[in-house]
Amino acid sequence: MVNYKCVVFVVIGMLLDVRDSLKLLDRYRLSYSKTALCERKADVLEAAASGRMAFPLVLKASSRKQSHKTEKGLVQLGIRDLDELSHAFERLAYKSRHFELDAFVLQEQAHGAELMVGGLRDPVFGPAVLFGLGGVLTELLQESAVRACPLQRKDAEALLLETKARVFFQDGGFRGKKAATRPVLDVLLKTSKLMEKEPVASLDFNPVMADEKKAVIVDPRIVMQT
Amino acid sequence: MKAKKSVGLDAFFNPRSVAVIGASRERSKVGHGVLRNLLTGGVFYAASAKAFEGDVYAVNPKAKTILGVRSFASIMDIPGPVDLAIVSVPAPVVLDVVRQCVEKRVKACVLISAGFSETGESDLQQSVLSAARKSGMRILGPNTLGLIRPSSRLNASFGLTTPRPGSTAFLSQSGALADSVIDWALEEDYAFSAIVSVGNMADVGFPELIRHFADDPQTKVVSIYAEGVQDGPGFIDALRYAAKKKKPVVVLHGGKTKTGQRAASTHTASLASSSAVFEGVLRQCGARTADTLSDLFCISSALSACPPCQNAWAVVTNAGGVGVLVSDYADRLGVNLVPLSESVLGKLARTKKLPATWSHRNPLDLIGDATAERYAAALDVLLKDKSIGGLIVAQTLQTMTEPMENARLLVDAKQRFPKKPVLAVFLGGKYSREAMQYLNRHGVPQFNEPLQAVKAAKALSVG
Repeated sequence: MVNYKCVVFVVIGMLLDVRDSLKLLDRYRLSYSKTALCERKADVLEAAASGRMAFPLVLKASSRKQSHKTEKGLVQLGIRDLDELSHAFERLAYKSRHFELDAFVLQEQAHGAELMVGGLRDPVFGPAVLFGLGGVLTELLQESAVRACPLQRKDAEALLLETKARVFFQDGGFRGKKAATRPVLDVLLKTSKLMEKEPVASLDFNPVMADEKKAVIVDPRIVMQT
Repeated sequence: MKAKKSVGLDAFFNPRSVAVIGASRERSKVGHGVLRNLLTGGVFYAASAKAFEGDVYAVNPKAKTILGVRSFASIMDIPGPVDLAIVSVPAPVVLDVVRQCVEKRVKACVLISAGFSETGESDLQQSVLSAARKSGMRILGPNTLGLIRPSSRLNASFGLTTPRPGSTAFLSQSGALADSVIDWALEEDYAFSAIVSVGNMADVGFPELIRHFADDPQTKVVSIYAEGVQDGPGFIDALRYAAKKKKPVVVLHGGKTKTGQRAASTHTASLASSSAVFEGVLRQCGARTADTLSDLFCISSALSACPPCQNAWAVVTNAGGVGVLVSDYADRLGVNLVPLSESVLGKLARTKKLPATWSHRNPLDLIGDATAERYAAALDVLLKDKSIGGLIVAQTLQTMTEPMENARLLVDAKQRFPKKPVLAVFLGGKYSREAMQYLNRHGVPQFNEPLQAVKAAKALSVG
């Protein structure tokens, strides 16, 4: 177990926008929440009404230039119907009126344990994968575990047990939240492949939402090498 | 890609002839200490310090003899072959000296001189390295304290003296730290197969040394103080090689914090990689990590003296408090203290050696007035039981306690049950000292702190 502070994420490079990020995830068959990328209000409402997505939904105003979207009011969670969606769109459009937006991102809201998967490129050991608790807990607990690529299955298994995130994989889970091992291992192994093959400087999948059936990436943040 | 064959390092650890270039008559000079260390084993007295038995030459153009050894103006003037050169001259002269060593067909060179990549003189270091490569001469350093191989009676360093020969190879990225470890080893009776200060690692680095000692029959454990590594993939391969050879590697990693990392870059010129990745790699390759210097040696001494065992430990004590502390630490670190079975409890009772008030559980409390006879009965029953993998035996000193008898019992138990680790926690000082030393000398790791015994148990536990 290591102190999260020690990990130096060198963000010199190009941050991918949401479209290119999802394309990269698709290429490595990394699963993410069902997503529609929209430009206008009509697209958003149409995507939600199409029946391809299930409420509750999440709407985000996505811009490469803006991090901490939640704090800036650029995310609306728990949208239950088209009426709420319409209001949410108006609010986000207003809040983001001064930003250069990449897209409005409409997603199915994922549930489960909040985990974090990261990728980085170490000057001595090369590409590496990092794992820990996701969401705000990542910063609070400041712990994560790292393995150098290529990750073997046993390395990924060790990662699951090395930090406090292990509680979600144990029999009782934690506070009603329990995560299946297999889909999370899958994310780790595919992230390892991605880090080996692509010129990625660093990446952050935070959170990865994991429940007893699946693990989906909610917010990919990928910085390419320049 | 240079050859990684560990045969390339033999001249460092088993030379037939050694020359000290920059040998000095002045006691305050490094070149004086190095020569005296070769001639006596140690500038500071230790029973384990022995004179080097091969040929020793001094090189100093201004002297005829130094410490009774004939001194030559140049290494070229030495009549016989020289396997190992120890160089302690100012940095600007090093390149010429190394060229002469190459011409003389010296096999290995310990470059004590400082003033290379650690002070920004990377070009000079590269030139020295290129010169050495012309003949394949190997270089340890520059900026190294040197190396000590007790079994070869070789103290090729300016470290204070030679500790006892043993089975731990200690590799240190800090030379001065290695020095203190020697002094401490004399006090704690630690023994070494080698002590190597790696310096700037211009040529010989951690990967090659790890492989060398994984193949060294004297070495059972490789113990490392590292601030950073240069060749990541080579380091990973070397750790995996050691794991395959069943030689445990224990690493204390310095330079973890941001302040620590700054200090590291001005200390030894290595590119300290992010410590999180470094520690991840250590775990990934089956190496053990230590948090403190004393942990490094506790774990190393346990691994070199004891076989690995199943994670199923029993504790014998004559003080309830020590049993409680050991239980707390075991719980925290994941060391499994097994419940004593009905059959074991029955056998313990039938020895008729235990007092009416014995604890009937693990930790097995033999009560404060326990004599050696009582310990003997308990040890015998517990070590014979299949469900118990290893034993931690604690002793506090009371008027009826027999420390030397107890120590002999443990050494005897170790011999009768060679597959089961026995760790001693004889708590005390002055009146326990003799017993503690006896234990360490006879291969029963002794800890003066319950937590360290539990850390050792953790390191020995498989699964």
